[in-house]
Amino acid sequence: MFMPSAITKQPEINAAVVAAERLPGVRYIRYSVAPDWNGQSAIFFRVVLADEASTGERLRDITTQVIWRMSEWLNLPELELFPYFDFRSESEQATLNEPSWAKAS
Amino acid sequence: MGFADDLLEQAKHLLNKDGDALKQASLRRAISTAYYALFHLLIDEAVGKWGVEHQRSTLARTFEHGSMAQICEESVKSFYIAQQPPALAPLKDVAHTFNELQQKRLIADYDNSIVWTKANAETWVEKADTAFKNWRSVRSLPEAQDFLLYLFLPKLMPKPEPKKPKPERDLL
Repeated sequence: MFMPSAITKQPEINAAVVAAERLPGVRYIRYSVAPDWNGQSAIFFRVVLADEASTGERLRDITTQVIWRMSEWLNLPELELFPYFDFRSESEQATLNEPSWAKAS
Repeated sequence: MGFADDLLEQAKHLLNKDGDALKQASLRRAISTAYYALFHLLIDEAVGKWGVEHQRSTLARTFEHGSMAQICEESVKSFYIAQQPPALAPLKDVAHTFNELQQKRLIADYDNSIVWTKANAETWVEKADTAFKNWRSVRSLPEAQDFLLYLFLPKLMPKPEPKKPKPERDLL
């Protein structure tokens, strides 16, 4: 599926990612653009968190902040992509070692 | 507690029942159950308005997952397009969480190639819990009642107002 906004808006998306990566507890963020399960254009963010931010109260706080702030920064109506967020800890990613979740080199 | 609350409790139970010996089946069922908790909460709230009690369960069966997701997506976008007041942010979060959970429910139930982690499953069960609280904090507002109406009758959802210029905002 061709999603032109994903191309034209890439600088804004990257800026939002860089800003979110500065949030305490966020290690790094990867993303991809694809249709969601309903066939709607979507952007999928994969957020890797520090282990100490990956449980309980801190997990609740940091995930809320990431979703809130990125949704604001992305300017959703113009982006024309619905954002989805997934989270995992550094140690979970170290165990699973999934390339799509690996830090970009 | 109502059925929706029971489902939410069950999602939390599934999340924690295996201790450190995490099972994909439990994490997947936790996600799926959290979605259905929010799904039934919103439907119960909508059909609860219907005066003829014995017809409510029939009405409840007319809600469609896809249409509800579409309304939620429009509601999230409308929040930003119309620059709605912060008091409506909890309603926007309910809509966003509904869409996230629906997407994750479909993956949890049907896509075995995705590995679920405790942090991700905990995040989304927790977001369902927050959505319950958010809903209950705004449910009496006219906008929340309109939201329920559109979930029930999606064709009534108005098109968003033309976009106003967005103020400059610093990134952190």
